[in-house]
Amino acid sequence: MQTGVTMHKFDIFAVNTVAVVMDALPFLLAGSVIGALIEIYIPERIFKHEIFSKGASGFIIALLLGMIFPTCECGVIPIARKFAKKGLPQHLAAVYMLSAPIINPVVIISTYVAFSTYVSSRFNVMMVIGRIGIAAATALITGLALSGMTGRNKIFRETVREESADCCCEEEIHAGERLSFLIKHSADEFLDMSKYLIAGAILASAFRIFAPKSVSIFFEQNLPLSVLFMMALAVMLSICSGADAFVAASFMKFSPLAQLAFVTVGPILGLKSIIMYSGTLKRKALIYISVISALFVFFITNLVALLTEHLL
Amino acid sequence: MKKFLSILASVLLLAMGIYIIYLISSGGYTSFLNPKFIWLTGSCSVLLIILGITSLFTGISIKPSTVIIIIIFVILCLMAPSVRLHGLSIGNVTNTNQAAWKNRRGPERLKDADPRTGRVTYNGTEYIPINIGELYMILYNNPKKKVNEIIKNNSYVFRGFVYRNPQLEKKGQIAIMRVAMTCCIADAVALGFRISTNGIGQFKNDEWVRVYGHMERFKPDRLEQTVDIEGIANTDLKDDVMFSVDQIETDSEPEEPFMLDWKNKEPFAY
Repeated sequence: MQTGVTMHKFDIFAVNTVAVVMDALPFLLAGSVIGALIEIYIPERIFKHEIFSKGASGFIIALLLGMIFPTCECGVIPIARKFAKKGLPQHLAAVYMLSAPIINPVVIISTYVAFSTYVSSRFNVMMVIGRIGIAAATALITGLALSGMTGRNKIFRETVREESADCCCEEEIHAGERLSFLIKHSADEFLDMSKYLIAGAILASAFRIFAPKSVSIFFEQNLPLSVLFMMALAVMLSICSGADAFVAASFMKFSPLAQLAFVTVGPILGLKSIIMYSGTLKRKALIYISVISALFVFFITNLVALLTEHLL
Repeated sequence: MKKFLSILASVLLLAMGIYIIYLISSGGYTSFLNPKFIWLTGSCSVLLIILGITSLFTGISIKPSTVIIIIIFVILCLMAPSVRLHGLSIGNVTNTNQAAWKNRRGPERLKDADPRTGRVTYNGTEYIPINIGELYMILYNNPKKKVNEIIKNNSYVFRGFVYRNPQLEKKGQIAIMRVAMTCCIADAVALGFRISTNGIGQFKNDEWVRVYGHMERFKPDRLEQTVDIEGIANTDLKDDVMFSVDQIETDSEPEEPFMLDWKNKEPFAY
């Protein structure tokens, strides 16, 4: 018996769940407030500009929006949903939702620091570039696939506020009412999304506590298997994108490509995110995002491995 | 019913905000999250309280299922008790960590350390106080030749908790571990070194110890099974470097049991 730890599994589970939620709450709240600000202050015509509907420019802007609205995977969903509601083509809102938790200044710096902490500093720039590259490509491919579905509410569900039909838009409200709407919008969105955050945190913590990780040794040596294992682990652990690189870097016996798969798939397809998506996205869109992202990350990491093996 | 749910939602927002303030003021915060982020979580709690109070007047739309899940979370918050996880006091418990974090002035110093160098001398040998994560950084951030030089020329003292398991014991070894936390306990990673049990006496699992000695390279000696510390996202135990022990003694659990700070030069965070 190791210090009664097994007896306290439920206690550890409770602490983990509370920690995950506490960690994510500020970002979810910030995302909800930013979403409300977008709702009230940004006119729809901005998102209906032709730059978003013609050619590749819309995709590129959607990819880079995370640099202006940096947030983790918990905070990004309310913002993306608000972008879509305001008239941004829904597949572009999805591209932003998938890429912003990775392609933002905070995560770029944390990835750089994480891989220079545990791994040789020669690799950290490559890991940052690799992470951004794979995340951008995954978001673009998924966005392209989703573009075929675009139409009003084909990708995103309506929010609880929209369902309640007392929604506002900037033309309808007076200046004095804006603060009141800001509070209502923020609180509604925050509470609506926190349900999914808490459910996701409960599931991810249950996995962390009750599933054995000692099997990882069987996957370390074989690249496709190690990528698969790290992807599955990223989904189940659902670690915040600001901190997941530190965990990935600690898997020192796994190849850098398997670590890249971990830090790319986690923010896009973490259990916590999937549960939050389920309250935000239509079922078909959720299936598209899950299947395409997972297959693409697996394919691209193995392809890079194959190419580097032959070229280097 | 709609009115009742709206008031309940406002109360839940208030409760979340107050709970975070309670965690911060009681010192329990550091058991869940890295104290570097107190400002962030603290701001969030203030905003939640403001939202909770103002939404009492503006009203909120909420689904019953949301109320149920948030109530489950509130119950979990109340249940998160004092937990000891492999040598670490974690959980919703008042402890001294947060005070230690607030009051500290740079890296911790050992009582008997030389005030000028921060090093300690034991039986005529000078030791550099360091933490396990910082030793990992030395191994990974330097070219092999320089690492060999560092290993040859330096002795270290670090602290950690004892980890025993059957496969280590078969090899006549135990491990000394320490847990690094980036944001919260959910991203915690345990790092450790193996030491030989030859002539060091008996130490219990999870007992905090202070170890004096030096690093030694050896041919990779992999364990058959990955070490998995329950409740920790990942565990890494060096399999090509052993820590050769000059002296090992029982120590008390540090005020900051997690490795929250890493330095890449002296004085190390220890």
